[in-house]
Amino acid sequence: MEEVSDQAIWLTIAVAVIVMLAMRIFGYLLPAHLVSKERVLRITALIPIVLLAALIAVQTMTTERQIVIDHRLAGLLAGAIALYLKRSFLTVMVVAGATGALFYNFL
Amino acid sequence: MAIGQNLRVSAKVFRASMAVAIPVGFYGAAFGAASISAGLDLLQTIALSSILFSGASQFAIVGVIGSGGGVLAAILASALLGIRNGFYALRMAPLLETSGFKRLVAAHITIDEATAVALAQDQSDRASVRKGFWFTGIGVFIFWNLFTIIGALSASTLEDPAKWGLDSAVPAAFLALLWPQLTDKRLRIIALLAMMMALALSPLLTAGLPIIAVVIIALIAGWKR
Repeated sequence: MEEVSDQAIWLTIAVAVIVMLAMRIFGYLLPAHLVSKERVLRITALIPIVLLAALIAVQTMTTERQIVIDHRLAGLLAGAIALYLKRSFLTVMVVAGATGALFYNFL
Repeated sequence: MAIGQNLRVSAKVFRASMAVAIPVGFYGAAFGAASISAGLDLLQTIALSSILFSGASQFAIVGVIGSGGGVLAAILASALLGIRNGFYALRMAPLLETSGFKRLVAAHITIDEATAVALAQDQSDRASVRKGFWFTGIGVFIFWNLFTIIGALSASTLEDPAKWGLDSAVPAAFLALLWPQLTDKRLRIIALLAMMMALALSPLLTAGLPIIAVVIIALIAGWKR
């Protein structure tokens, strides 16, 4: 896998920052009736949900684009159990991290 | 008397804001560490937390870069994850009624947490709504950046993040952000479909794109109903 160059990272940061600030400022400038259409609201409410779900799956179960089941999935499942038991997110992260590390180092 | 009462209300909103801002700051440590292990340097990591300042987008950028994805995929992922900040801005605009430089600062700290705490106040009490927004937004900004540096500095001393469980803790942090949003069965199914679609596309598309492609699920599911 090719390394992303330093300039490419700075370019990414610069453009991402401009796009982010533009979206935030437009929110304060746009007339509300344009974006308060029910369908637009429904879709934009779902976007963070599907994106986060996809990110979790890709981060946990792929390595260099191949599907891999390893210590990360064990950690995530342990974190999910902590979430199910309504633990604080600090607990969730510690449980997930500790389980992942345990599987990685000892199994 | 009026001043005393005002201070008491401020203290109450302040406590609510810090109860959110301080724990959220811990995520900053996870981000700092994730960013360093993805190959970004300390300055780039600090730049993301201070001038991009949107957790999910920051994680997405370092996630895409760490998996060897391109500039465009990283920017797109960041933008798509940041769209909701624009919608929060739309919601907050009539409540804050700011202008000029103060509006620019308000725009920059328009995030999930600031909006959530502001809207959790009694909405007829406009002053409390505004205080909730500013206290939380500025509080998260300070703690998020502080912990980013701590996380980044501790990560540089780790030669293998997996050994410390970091590569398991980061997706778990994402799951903790997603979890409270999955309020009914339909949303849980939508999230599961997105996971399966992203995994299925991973071997086929360049890194980063499988994540963005799942927006089509939001489009289809949100079109009707």
